[in-house]
Amino acid sequence: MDWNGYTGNILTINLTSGKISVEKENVADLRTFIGGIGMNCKLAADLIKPKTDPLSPENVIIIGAGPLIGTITPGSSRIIGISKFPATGAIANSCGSMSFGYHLKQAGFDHVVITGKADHPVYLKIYDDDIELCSAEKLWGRDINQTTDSLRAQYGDCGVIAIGQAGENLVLFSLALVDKTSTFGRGGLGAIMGFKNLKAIVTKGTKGIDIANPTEFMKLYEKLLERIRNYKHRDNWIKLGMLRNTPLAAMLGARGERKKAKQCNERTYLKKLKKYRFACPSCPIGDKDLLEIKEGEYSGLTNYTSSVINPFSLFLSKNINTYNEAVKAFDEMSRYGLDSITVPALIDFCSELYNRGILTQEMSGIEWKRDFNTFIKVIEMITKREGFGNLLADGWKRILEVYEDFEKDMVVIKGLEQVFDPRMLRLGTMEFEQVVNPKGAHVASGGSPTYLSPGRPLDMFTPHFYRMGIPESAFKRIFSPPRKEMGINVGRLTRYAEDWYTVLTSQGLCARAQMNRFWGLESVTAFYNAVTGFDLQPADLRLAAERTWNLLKILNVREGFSRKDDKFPAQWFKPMQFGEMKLNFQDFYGGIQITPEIATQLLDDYYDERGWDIQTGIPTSQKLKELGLEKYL
Amino acid sequence: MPGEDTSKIILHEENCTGCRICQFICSFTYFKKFIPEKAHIQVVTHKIPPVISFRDSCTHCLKCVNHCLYGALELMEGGQ
Repeated sequence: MDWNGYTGNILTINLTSGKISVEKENVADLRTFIGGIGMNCKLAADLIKPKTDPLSPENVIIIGAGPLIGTITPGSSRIIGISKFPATGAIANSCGSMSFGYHLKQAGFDHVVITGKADHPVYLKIYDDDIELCSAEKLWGRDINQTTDSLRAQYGDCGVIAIGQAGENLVLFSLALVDKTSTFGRGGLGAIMGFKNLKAIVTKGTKGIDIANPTEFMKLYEKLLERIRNYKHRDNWIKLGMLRNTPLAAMLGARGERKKAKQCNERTYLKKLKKYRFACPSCPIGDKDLLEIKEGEYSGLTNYTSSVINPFSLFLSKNINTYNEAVKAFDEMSRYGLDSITVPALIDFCSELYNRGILTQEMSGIEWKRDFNTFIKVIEMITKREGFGNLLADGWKRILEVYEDFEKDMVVIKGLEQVFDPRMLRLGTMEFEQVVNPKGAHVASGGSPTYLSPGRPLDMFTPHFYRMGIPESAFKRIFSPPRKEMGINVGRLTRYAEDWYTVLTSQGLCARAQMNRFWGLESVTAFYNAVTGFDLQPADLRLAAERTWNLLKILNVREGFSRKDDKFPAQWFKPMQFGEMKLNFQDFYGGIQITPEIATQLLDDYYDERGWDIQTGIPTSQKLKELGLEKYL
Repeated sequence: MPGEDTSKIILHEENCTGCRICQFICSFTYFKKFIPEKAHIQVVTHKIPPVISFRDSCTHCLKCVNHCLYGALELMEGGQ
C-alpha cells in the first residue's frame, strides 16, 4: 500500500544481540491506535511484560513520531517516548520536541523500539537505511552538550537524543535532551538509556514524506497559516516565548522576594540573557531559547532551553538569588541530564528537614545552607552519587524507604514531586491531573481552559469545550461540581483534557498554549485525513484517544497501580506560608477551600467520567469491552 | 517569478529560527512531497544563526520568501 504521513515502518534494535529489524505497521492498528502515543501504547502493551524491572535488559524504550511530523503542518515536531520509568515504576509517556521526530520520519520510520543491553557504550545511528550501533566509548563521561556537538560535527544537521553523566550513573530521575534543548523522559529515561549503555540516538533523514491529498492539504494549511499570521499576539510570543505567560514574577513578589521578582522579567531576559530565538521544524511561533550570560563570573556561558522560564523557575529556590546563578545552576543540571524540577525540590525538602533538626549533618554529610554553592554541590553529589547524593539519586521512593517518617513532608505523587502547587495556582485540571496521571505528578496532559487564568468566566469555557471535541452530553456534568460555587468540576473536565492531549500527541502536534489554541478536534481530523488518506470522523479520533488513555491505564494496573496511588499530597490540605500570606488549597474560582471530602468527590467524578470503577480507579470490564481492550487486562 | 535572480533575495540569517518552512514549501512545490533535503533552498539549522543557501537548481519562484514567517528572507525592492 501507499504510505502517506505515516512511513509505515517500525525500527527495532536489540542492543544485546545487535540485531536490527524493520517491520511494517498494521493498517488496522493505525485505525485503532492512532500515531505517536496511540501506537506507542499498543507497542508497550505487546512488548513490556508486567513487573519488568525498569533497569533491566527486558525494559523497552519506544519512541514514536506521529503522522503529521515531517510535514509543514504547523507545530508538528513533537515526539513521544514510552518505557517503564525507574523513578516511579510506572509505564509512562514523555514528550520531546526539536528536530529528532522530523529526521526520524524523513529517514523512514514512525517508531523506534529499543530492547536489551549493549555490553559496551554505544550510540544508535539512523541515517535513512544506514542503521548502525556505533561505539560511544569516547562519548561516555561527556555531558549532553559535548555529546550532541560531537555527533553533529560528524553528521551535520541531525536530530540527537543524548544522556549526560546523570543517566550514565543511573540517577533515577535523570532524563535525556533532544538537540541539547528539549527535556525528554521525566521519571528516568536517562537512567534507562544509561543502564542499556546507550549514550545517544542520532538520526538524519532524506527520504521525504508523501501526502495523500496534496490539494486538500495545502488548502487547509494556507487557511490555518493565515489565522496564525494574523494572530495579534504572535509577535509577542516570538519575542518572549513562555515568559509571556508565566506568573513567576508575581509569585516571587507575593512572597516578598522583590529583588528576585525584579530580575525575573522581560527586561532581564531581553537585555541580559536572550541570545537567539529558534524553533522546532514547522513551527510558526518559535519559542526556544539560546541564553547567554553576558557579565559576571559566568560570563560567556550559553544554555539551550525550551524556555527561559526553566532557569527562571529556580528563583523559587531559596538557594538562588540572581539570574546568573539561575542560568548557571540550570545549565549544570541540563548538561548532566538531571531533572531541574526534582533537584530543587529535593534541596528544599532536605533544607527544611535540616532546619527542623530532623535531617542532621551527620546523616547527610553536608550543611544544608540556602546558598548557590550548596545547590551546585548537591547537583554534583547527585550526579556522581557521592555520599548522601547516592541516596538522593535514587529519588523520593528510596528516600521514603530509608526514612519513612519523611512522607508527611513530601509533596510527591507516585514518586514524582509536584510541578504545580494548587495552593498557589488554585485547582485547575493541570493541578488535578498530577494526582491521576499514571506517570505521577506531571502537568503536560492536563491542559484545559483552566490553565489560562484562574477564575475566568464560565461562559468562556464552552467554545473551548467544542474545540476540544468534548461531547455536548458531558457539558452539564462538567458544570456540576461538588459545590455549586466551584463552577467547574475539574475531576470531570480532566478526563477530556487528557483525551485532547492524546489527540494532539497522536499526531505529533505541539500542545503549548500558543499552538494548541489554533487546533480543534475537527481541524486535526481534517489534516489527518488529508495527510494520510484515511477517512476518519472527529468522533473516531476522540474514541481512539480514549482507547489510548485506557490502555495506558491498563498497563499500569498490570503493574499494581490503582486508586490507592492517586493520592492528593497531605501537604496540600495544610496552609502554605507564602511571604506574609497563608495560602489555602482552593478551587479554581477561589471561593471554596478544598477539603479531603471534596477532593475525594472530585476523584470519584473523574473515574465516573472515565467509566472506571470508582472504588478501585480501574477501567471496568464494560469500558474495556466498549473500547476493544479486553485482551490487555 | 521563475527566472528571477536569487541575488534579489536579501538574507537576514539573524532572523532565521531554523523552522525549515521554506524548505518544506519548496520541496512540496517541486517534488510533490515534503523532502526538505531536496529543496532548492537549504538551511543548516544547528548553526547559530542558521546558514541559508540556494542550490543552482533554484527557479527563483520566491515561494520560500512568501512563506517565511520570521523575516529571514526578503525580496529586494523592485525585485518581483
